[in-house]
Amino acid sequence: MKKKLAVFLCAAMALGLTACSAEQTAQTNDASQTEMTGAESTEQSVAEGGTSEAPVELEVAFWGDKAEIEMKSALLEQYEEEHPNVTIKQTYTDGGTYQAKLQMWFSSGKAPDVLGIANDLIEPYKELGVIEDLKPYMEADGMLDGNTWEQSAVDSFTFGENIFAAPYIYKSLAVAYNKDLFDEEGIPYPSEDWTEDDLLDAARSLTKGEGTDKQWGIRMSTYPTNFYRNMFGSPAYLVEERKMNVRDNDEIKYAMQLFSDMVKEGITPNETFDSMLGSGFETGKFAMAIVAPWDMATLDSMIGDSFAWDVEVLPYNETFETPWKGYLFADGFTMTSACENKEAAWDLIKWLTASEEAQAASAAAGVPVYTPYATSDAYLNEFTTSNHYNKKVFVDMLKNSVGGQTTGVWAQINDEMNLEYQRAVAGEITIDEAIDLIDQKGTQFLESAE
Amino acid sequence: MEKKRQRLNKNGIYRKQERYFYGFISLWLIGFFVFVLGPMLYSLYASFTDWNGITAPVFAGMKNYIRVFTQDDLVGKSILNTLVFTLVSVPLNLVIGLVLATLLNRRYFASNFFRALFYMPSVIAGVAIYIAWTYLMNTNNGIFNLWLSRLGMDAVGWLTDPHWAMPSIILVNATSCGGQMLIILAGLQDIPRDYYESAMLDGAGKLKQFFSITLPLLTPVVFFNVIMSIIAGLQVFTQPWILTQGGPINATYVYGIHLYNNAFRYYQFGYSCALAWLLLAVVLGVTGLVFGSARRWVFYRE
Repeated sequence: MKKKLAVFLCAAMALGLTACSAEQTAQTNDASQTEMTGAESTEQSVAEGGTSEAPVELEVAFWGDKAEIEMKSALLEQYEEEHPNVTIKQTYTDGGTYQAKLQMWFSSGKAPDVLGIANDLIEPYKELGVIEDLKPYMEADGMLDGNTWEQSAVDSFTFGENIFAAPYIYKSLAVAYNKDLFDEEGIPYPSEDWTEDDLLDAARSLTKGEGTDKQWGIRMSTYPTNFYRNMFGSPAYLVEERKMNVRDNDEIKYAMQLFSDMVKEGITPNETFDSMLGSGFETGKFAMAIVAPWDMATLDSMIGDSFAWDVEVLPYNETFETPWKGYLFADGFTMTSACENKEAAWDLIKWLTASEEAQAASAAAGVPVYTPYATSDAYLNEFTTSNHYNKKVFVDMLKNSVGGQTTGVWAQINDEMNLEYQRAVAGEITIDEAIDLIDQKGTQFLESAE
Repeated sequence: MEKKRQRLNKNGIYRKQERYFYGFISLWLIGFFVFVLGPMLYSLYASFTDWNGITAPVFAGMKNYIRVFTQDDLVGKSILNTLVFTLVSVPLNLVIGLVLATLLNRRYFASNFFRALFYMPSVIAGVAIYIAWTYLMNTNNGIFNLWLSRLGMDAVGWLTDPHWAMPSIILVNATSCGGQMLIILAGLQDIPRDYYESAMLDGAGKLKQFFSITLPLLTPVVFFNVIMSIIAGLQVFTQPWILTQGGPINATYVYGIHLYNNAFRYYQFGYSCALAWLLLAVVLGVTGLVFGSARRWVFYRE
């Protein structure tokens, strides 16, 4: 009897583990990866190099928060309805774990066919031959004529002669300004031809008070650490050539000095160490703030009718004769080199990145990159916010935005730049000393990485 | 009828029952070999390779270990920060846990409520709590500095001043000593009341009883807490990662963050595995030292 009871208990425990595992797989959770089949899967074999009529199965991976995942998932289901021969298996995670997922997929050789990718994540994979060069596809479809996508969006996924992803949506930076505070001081609003000196003068005039009651001229948040890497068109390091470019680089030195001086002058809080959580532009404590499209809905709901505000492009620097180059957060889609249905995968990527219906649906997640739609009244005059801010600013900023790299040896160099910048802001070292250290350490990291 | 003879093993447990034992733990053993020991052995192999986590590892001999000791400036800084955190937070949490357990050892109105209250931070997901702490400790808008400003004092850069950042993290960590409190409480309640009654009859006061009876008999529990706290302290990652990301100016850059950065941001998995195995060696070494010292200060009741 005891023996039978023991065997029964063992079996029950084993079954319990199996049931547990099945439940976790079935649960859909924003913070965890899950797999879905968009339409009924078929047992038909995949045709090689698939024609548009032959049945095709594609696995598509992407990331996002709950709303963005729902949007992208619905888009892929819509594509399946319009292309009945295509079955899409969706795989998605939250943004925080997607980078680790990419590593895991490629290291295990099980990467999905089509991948969402960010411009700052693509660099480690481009040299390994695991991601397809999409340039031939784009050229064959005449998409590189400058009318489909803004060149800077394409450039953010371009390495050498190859284009490793098609741009999908992006987020660029702009300046939000509190019209009421400007009116109180009689200062003209920022305009599309305003200069860096205009910004600094306005920030100084609008900085008042002390302590927790202080009104700041501008909130830079943690963006300086992105800005100074390539603010005036001369980057701190050259990714293609894999070498540092920070020594004797007047633009880099100027940028670091500028932000450091703004903190020391007290017109912007020092957020290099931490962000002023829960106290952004919406509180009315900042005359201006660096913002991105993802801030718009939050600002709109939190500001309401408290004060009038709008956005403007980043200012023009007269010393280097260029506008401030904002950091470009570009999302794209690519396909893996191992994809067996490259034509079908390209069809999907092209639809997502260069069709008005897909771009219109994606506008909630970022600025659409498809130029005909991004510059149309349908997009520019369509608002989900009560404040009809100048949406065109974010579209215009794409021309003057540059992407960066945040993985591998570049992440190491970025961290080193950040550390030395923090030390300079804290007064421990000068900007020149910081630049020397960045150059020295960056070169060392690059040599170790060879 | 002949009775079935069963051979006894040296512990006096019937061999048949041994089979049941191994049967029941077999599932755990399988999980351990597949999900713990297997990956550990692979990471040991990876520590001797150049591996970016994407392509196949390439054997590189002792290169990673040599780099740890000779080329990586951040290793020393991260070890120092980790040791500071561990050496301060272990005794601090122990003392706080002991004081709370002693106070809550008696039955009085709402004692159960307070026991649950102090234990709660240990069971609530760490990340959520630490994010809340970033709001409380925010330099410009946190409630701590608001209180200070109302008292006419200057704001403190709790998480932004290199001198305050590590003490702030240690303070945050101290709020999670509820687990230690609970274990010490169990140890306190295991001490027979007779000892205290006899001591009282002999004229011993409360303080004398505490140092002569309570503390010595609590040493096994304290020993357990010290071991677990040292292991957790040397592996600290979540608190500094959420609160300061290792800043400001690397003031809270601990070994765990260095390991994480090398693996998941710098794509140097092989080197990160070497860092992990060195950490394991240190943890084993320190644990061994504490075990070795235990015979001098840990007293077990027969």
